[in-house]
Amino acid sequence: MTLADPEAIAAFIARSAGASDAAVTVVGRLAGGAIQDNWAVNVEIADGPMAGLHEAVLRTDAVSGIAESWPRAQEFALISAAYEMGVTVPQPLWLEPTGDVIGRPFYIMRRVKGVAQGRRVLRGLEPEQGDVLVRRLGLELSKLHAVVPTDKLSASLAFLPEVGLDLIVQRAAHYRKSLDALPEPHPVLEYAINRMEDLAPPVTRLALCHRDFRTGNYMVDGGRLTGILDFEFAGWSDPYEDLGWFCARCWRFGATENEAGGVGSRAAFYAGYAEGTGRPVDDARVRYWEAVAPIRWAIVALQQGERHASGQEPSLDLALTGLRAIECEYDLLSDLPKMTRGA
Amino acid sequence: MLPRPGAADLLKMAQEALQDHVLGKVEGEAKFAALMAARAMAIAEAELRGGAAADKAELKAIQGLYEEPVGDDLAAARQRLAADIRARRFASGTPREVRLLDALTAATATRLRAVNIKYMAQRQRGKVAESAV
Repeated sequence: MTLADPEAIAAFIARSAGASDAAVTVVGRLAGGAIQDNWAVNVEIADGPMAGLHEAVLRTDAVSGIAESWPRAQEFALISAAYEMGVTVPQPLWLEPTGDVIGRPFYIMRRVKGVAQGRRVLRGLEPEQGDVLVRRLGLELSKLHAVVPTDKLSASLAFLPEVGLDLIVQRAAHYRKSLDALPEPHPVLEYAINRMEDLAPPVTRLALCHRDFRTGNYMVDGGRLTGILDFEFAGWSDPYEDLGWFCARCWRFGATENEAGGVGSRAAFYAGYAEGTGRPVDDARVRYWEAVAPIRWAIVALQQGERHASGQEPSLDLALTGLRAIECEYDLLSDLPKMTRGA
Repeated sequence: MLPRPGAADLLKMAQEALQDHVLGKVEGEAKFAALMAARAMAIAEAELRGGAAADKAELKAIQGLYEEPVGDDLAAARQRLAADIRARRFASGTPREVRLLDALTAATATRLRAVNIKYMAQRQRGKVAESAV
C-alpha cells in the first residue's frame, strides 16, 4: 500500500506554510490505526516561516470507519484545542478538509517519538516508571478537562453535540440504538445498559473529554510521555468517564494489578489528576464509569467486527476485534450485578 | 463429511504447523498476521468441538427462564430474551433476575473459554481485590 501523490501533498503544504516549495518523503505506513491510516512523512519546506525539515504524520480516513468516529477536520479541531490547553499532544500543523488533494481529507501533525501499542508500552517500562507516567497522564487529563462548553475555546468545537446533565440517560439510549443497528441481539449488553441507568451517579460537571483515553492511545519514549493521540471520539462528557475508561480492566493489557491503564497505581493516577484540578478525585464515580466502560468497548468491537462481517472491509483483525465483545460481557457480568449505587 | 481426521483435528494440526514451523521465523507484520491466523484457527477449532453443545445448553437455559414455551430456535430465543431484558421483565433483586444472571454468565463463560481463556484466567486472578483509594 502506498500513499497517493506525495507531490500534491507537498504542493498543499507549501501553500499552507506560505512557502514557495516543499517536498514530501514517505517514510512508511504506521501500525495501529483501525479507523484511520497514519503515514510517517518527512516534509522539507524551502522557505517562509516554517522553513526546514519537519518529521510529521499524515492522518487520513481508512477505507471504512465506524459511526462514532469524528472525520479528520473535526479531529484536527479537537487536537488543536488540546494543544492550546497545553496538553501534551503532537502539534497539529495543517488540515486538508476537502479531499481534493489525495481523494480523502487528511491532516498533518508533528511526529513524536516512542511507542503506543499497549503491550509494548508495558514491556518498555521500568517498575519505577509506571507511577510517574500515570501521575503525568492524570495531570494531562486535567488540562483537557479544563475546557468546558461555555469556554471561548469551545467556539471552535461548535460541531460537538450538546449534552446535558442527563448524559447517562442519553448514553443509554444511544447504546440501545447502536445495538439495534447490529444484526444479532446482545442480552448481556441489554442487561448492562439497564444497570448503567440504575446505578447512575449524578453528573455535576461537563467538560471536553477524550473518550478513548487509555493505554494504547498515548506515545511513550524511554518511560516518558511524548504525546496523547486519537481524539476521534472526543466530546462533552462527565470528566469521570475518562478516568474510569483509563482504569477499566479491559484496557490493562493483562497487567490487572496495575489498575491505572495496566501501567501504574490508581493512587498515582488520581494524584496527578487532583494536582491539576485542585480537587480530590471522587473514587466512587471513577468506579462507576469503570464498571460500565466495557459496554461502550463491546459495542465498538461489535461494530468493528461488523465492518468485516458485512463484507465492507474483509479483515481478520476486524473479525477478531468483534469477538473481544465477549471479554467485555464477561467483565460486565462479573462487576455490575454486585455493584451498588454510589459504591 | 470428511473421514477422520475431521475438521477440528485438521485445524489443530494447522495451528501446530504455524506454531512450530512459521511463527519463529517471521517478524513484524508477517508475525502479526501469523499470530492472528493461529488464534482464529484455535477459536474455530473450539467452536467445532463444543459449539453445538454450547448452543444447546444456552437454548435450554433461556427456555428455563420462561414458563411458556420458547421454541427451539436459538436466534429467536436470544432475540426475545434481549427484548425482555430491555423491557425490564427481569426485575432487579428478584429470583427471576438471579436465574437470568446465571443463564447469561454460563453462556458468556462458555464463549469466553472458546475465544480467550487467558483473559478469563487473568480476570479470575485479579478477583482478589481492587485497591482502595
